[in-house]
Amino acid sequence: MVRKIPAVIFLVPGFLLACTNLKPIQQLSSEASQGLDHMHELEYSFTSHCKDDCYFQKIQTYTIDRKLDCSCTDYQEADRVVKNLFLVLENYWNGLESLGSPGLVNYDLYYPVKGLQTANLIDMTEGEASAFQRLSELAVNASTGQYRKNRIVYYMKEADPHLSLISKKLAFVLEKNLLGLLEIQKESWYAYYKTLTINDTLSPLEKEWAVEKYYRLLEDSDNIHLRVQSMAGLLDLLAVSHSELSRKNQKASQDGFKSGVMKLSEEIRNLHYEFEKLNE
Amino acid sequence: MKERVDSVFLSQVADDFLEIAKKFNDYRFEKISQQLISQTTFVEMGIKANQLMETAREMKLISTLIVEPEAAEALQQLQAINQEIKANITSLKSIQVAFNLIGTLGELAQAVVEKKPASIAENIRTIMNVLAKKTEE
Repeated sequence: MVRKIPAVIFLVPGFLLACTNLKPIQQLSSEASQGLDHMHELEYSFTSHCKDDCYFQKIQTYTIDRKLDCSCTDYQEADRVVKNLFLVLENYWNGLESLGSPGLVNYDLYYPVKGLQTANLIDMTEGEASAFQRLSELAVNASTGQYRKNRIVYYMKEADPHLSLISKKLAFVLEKNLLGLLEIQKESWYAYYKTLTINDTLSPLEKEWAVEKYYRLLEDSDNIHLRVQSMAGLLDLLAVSHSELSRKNQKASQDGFKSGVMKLSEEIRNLHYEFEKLNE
Repeated sequence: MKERVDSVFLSQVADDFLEIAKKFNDYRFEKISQQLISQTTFVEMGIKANQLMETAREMKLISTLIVEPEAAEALQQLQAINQEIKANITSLKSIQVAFNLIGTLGELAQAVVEKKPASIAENIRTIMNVLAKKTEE
């Protein structure tokens, strides 16, 4: 997180910034951070899936209790995995942003350190765990100025395999498992509401209501699907483009690097626009 | 990196189970519209399909949290079986075979998420037998 800094500090580093062409990096990481921010707007999580399903179970069995009592502990745990993977990526992109920013001295160490502390809460493979830790460390190093200026590509190169692994893991969890749960939920709705339509004891009006309810649920779930899919797409895009940028270019001042950064910024902005449309 | 592969694998098996449950739902809706099954059988089949989906749900969770390496072999066997079931379920003529199939598959899936190797092996044998009968009837 970059805090607001007094304007006077910009004077000298601003001159340095002009010399070292860090602006594209700033732009890229700021676009990336903005894109990742949409994670907070998914409006769907393992826990919310669990609660939705619990609620639906009550409807199916016509059960009314004084309190909606749902056992969602494992689902909360899955959300914690998602949160931790996400935080370490967010920290990295914030670290990158701070590398290209004159406000580097004010880089807040809280989140990277927190990321490291929570690493042991996650059950990950050895490779994933070490990627997680390495990426967190790199985010911290960014703040020490160790990678400043022309070493930015080196920094990205070093972070790349870890960023790639964590991004892929998070994209997999979102796209295959979280959306997989949504697909299961959709089939439950289908079976339940279709059964209502062939129930002879229901009136045509009641059947009409069931059909309407079913399609409304489908429409909502399609929106969720698009949001989660876009987020998984963004994670893949960030990982792939980051790899390309760090592989092909030796210096941040090279033309290829700059145009690559600009292209990625644009693609993220397009995704950002898609998200905005979904939220309208 | 073996566990990661298993995590992906388990998620795929859960997808297979959902697809089988969908086909099974299609099957029972079709049979009841043709009045080939009773209301009771229709409901019981629905319960079995729901159980299978419930287990698929648990598999998605386990895939997110962690997958035990020892589950890998059972998962491989399961994937092969699932392919065969998916290809055949809608054409099953014997309601009883279809019923047994979805029931045993549900138990097998449950054994996988509960990590009971003996029960997994036993259910795989039963499914093989049911599938063998399918060609006879």
